[in-house]
Amino acid sequence: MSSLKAAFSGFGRVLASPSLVLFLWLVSVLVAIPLAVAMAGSIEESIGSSLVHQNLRDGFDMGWYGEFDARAKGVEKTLSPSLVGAGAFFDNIEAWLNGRLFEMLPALVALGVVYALLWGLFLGGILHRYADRRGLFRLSELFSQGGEFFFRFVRLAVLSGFLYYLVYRFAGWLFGRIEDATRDVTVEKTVLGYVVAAALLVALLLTFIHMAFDYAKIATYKENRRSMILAAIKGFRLVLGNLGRTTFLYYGLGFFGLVLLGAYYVVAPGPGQASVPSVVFAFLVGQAYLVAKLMLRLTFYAGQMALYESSGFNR
Amino acid sequence: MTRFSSLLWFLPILVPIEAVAQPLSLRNANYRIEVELDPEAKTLTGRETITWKNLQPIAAADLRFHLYWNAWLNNRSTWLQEARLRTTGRNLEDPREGDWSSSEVESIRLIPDVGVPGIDLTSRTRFEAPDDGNPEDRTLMVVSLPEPVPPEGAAQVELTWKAKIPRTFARTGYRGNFFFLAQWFPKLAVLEASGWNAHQFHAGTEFYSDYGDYDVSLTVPSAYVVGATGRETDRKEASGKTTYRYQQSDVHDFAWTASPDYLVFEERFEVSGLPPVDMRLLLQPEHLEQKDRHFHATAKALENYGKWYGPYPYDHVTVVDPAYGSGAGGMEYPTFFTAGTRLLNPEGGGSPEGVTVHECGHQFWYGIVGNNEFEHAWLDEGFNTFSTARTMDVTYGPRSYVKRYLNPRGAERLSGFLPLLFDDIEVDRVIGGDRLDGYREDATWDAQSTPTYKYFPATGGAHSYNKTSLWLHTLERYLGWDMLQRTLSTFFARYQFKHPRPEDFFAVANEVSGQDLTWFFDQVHRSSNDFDYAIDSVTSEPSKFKGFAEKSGELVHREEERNDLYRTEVVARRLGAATFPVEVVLLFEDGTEKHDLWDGKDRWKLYVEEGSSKLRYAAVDPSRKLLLDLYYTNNSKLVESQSKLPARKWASKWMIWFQDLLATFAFFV
Repeated sequence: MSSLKAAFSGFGRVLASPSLVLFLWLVSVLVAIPLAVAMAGSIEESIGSSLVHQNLRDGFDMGWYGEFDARAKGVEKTLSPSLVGAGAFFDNIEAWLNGRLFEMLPALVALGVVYALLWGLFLGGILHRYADRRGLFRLSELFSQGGEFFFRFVRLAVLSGFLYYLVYRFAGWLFGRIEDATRDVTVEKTVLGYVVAAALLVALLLTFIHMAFDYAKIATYKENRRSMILAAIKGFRLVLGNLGRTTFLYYGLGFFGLVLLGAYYVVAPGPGQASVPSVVFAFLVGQAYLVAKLMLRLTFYAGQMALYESSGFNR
Repeated sequence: MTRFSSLLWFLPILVPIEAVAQPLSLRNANYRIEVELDPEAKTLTGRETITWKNLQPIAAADLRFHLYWNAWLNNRSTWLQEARLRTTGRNLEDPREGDWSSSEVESIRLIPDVGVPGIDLTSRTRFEAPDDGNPEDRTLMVVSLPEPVPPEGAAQVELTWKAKIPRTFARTGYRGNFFFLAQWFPKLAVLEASGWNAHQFHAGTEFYSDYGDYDVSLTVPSAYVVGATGRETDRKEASGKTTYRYQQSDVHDFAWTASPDYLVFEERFEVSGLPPVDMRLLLQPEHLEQKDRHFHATAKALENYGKWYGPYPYDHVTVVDPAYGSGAGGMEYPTFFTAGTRLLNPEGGGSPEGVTVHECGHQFWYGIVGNNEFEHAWLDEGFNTFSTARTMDVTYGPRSYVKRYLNPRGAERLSGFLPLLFDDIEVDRVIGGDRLDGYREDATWDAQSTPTYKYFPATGGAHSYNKTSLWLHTLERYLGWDMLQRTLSTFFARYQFKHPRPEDFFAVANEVSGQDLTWFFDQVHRSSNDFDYAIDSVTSEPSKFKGFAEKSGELVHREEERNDLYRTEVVARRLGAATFPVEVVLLFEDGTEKHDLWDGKDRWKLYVEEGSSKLRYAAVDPSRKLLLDLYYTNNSKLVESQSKLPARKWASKWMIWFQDLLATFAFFV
């Protein structure tokens, strides 16, 4: 099976279980809502009964924001003008690339870890669903399969986490060396070239590990593996043994993700919603993007599963 | 010795430059300098002759020289000690051997007259640290004279010195083949009526010097392009080196730059009613597309400042676009300044226009009006921040919010390569120009009247730049722009090529406005108090009466509620320690308004109104005259809050970000 066929097959499998997508999206909404409600309360308290509400209704008010930020504590500190439109996603991509995700506020990191563990819990069920099965998605299937594989995937996450940690350490060293080596470079274009090349290398390493561990999970599920060290090795072997197809599939889907982000950048609503329907519409557009991104993430799993299951795949 | 003294006192001041032109300044500190740059060794070797006239009513028993580059001789200097208290200091973490700098006077001689050998004063030099007694600070050199220089007397000294160029500190130094050389020569301090006003070099202050003529010969490798204060008047080439001669009268400093990479462009500023100015731009090749933006911003500064305050008196200005990462951007020198930009800088984001206007604007506030930046930096930085904000506003309007991405971990100096412009988020003059947010954080650290070199290093900028800009903008709204413009232009005209003190400005403001504004300057300048007015509570309900009231000469009990009459109660409060007269307005639902001009001195004031209409909102300072008010959101209060929709809207946007953040965490599982 070619990478392209695997991608289409994967996408078809995702489409075949819309309720799974809906469920996973709902989970992200439910995890996010408590803090969003708290954030709304903080903003409301800050605005109070002030006339400033008009400015924040019609757009963004940098004057108000400066006051809010000066008194902000904890999660409130994360409110920023850059949350408008695609800026929110650029913020997160930057945090991911720099490894600063785990340096955020403890409350956010804690929720992030909880969400990641939930994702780990559902992963067994997700792979089960996309392992060439059909029929209606059942929640019990998600939990039963998830429970069976949860601790194995957590162990895999610890292994991959160690590798990610090494990559981030390497990234810090690499950028430090670039900074050193370019101390006398007077042309920004040259320095930017080094930085972009290094950032791409770091992204490549992170995603390569990610891809290998995706296959490690698939191998764990398909082969009912118990040793996660051997599963991880298997993951890398699967990637390297099918380098063209695995990387083309992974980075092809990754490229599609960038296209998706670019499209959202173009259509993303700005700050100017002044009525309830327009606020709801802007929220739904954002959620639609998140759902599309979620579907793309699931297509990675489903497509890689399809590739793994194909007859020509070197297992 | 006697012969020397008599010659010294009557020495004629050398006026070699533009001798026929009418002097704009007193020209009492004149420099003739010859210097050679060694780009490989990163050194300067120089010889200078200073002719100085004592304009003060006291005799000078010694001369005092600033050796600014000794601020980076080692980590014990006062500059570096103070810089470590700042959170934004550059190049402070790990200076390496080649990063340090020095300025070493090899010889100093008193020259009584042309052809006379002079008296060697080298052994009479010592370093002093009048501000903090730091024995390891070598930024202020004192030279004892054999005889004091009496009032109206003059002295001529010749120095030879050698300097090691720093990797850029405080906007001076090198990066690769780029050199920006400021505060690079031994420079005489200013004698005032009370004695020498000579301070060490501090991290939070800049400079103070007398006006004079500069005649400077700069020798560099011939491949280098040079830019400097003044105009090039001669050029000689020999043995692969070129000597450029630059001359300028009526300035108080001289800086220059050399790099083989500059592209040179010239345009002429011509605006009706103002003298023409030749603008020379030294541009980094990778910024070629931003050439016009530099010229445009420079021209707008010359035009607006020229019309508002007074014409730019020199016929030329040089704009330097410094090399990437050099740290030399955003600094002013007479007829010469550095702008600063990035490879990617979208239009509408305010850069490089803002920095270009600001540094060009310093030609007026710093260059022409030469206040003491050691002690009253706010007089130029604040006036110029205000003027920059105004120029940017009238020229470009509000800028858009920009966030810069690609900030790699572990390399703090490699940052912000990719800008994202949020063109629907406006940053207005108060936030982007006066920089209210920066002031809010540091509002109470120091009274502005504290000498600048004594400001806490990390927060001094808020008082010099932001607070002044905010209180001038407040005055603009309080007095009106015409009045403030007349005040500033009078101050400019009266103190150009002089060294005004704060009291001079306050006197001009009182005189021109015809008001005693002492109360205002007491609040904003002589105090560190903060401003914050608020509407504390609003109620507006059908009028009720309960209790005893007089009827037919007797007190009778009465309970009454009237639905056609509303009783409105509003409490306005002064939350900050500082006071300012503020308007309080009550707007009723039928459109009627009640206005009160509250002197703002008491801690609170109650407003009670009875009328046929319910109150819609109350606001204190509704037209926002008091821009120093730290928290403006609390200045108004609606009877019925309408904050739910905007709160939910912004929380919903935050939630989208947060959900994506959660998904990013899931990447690792």
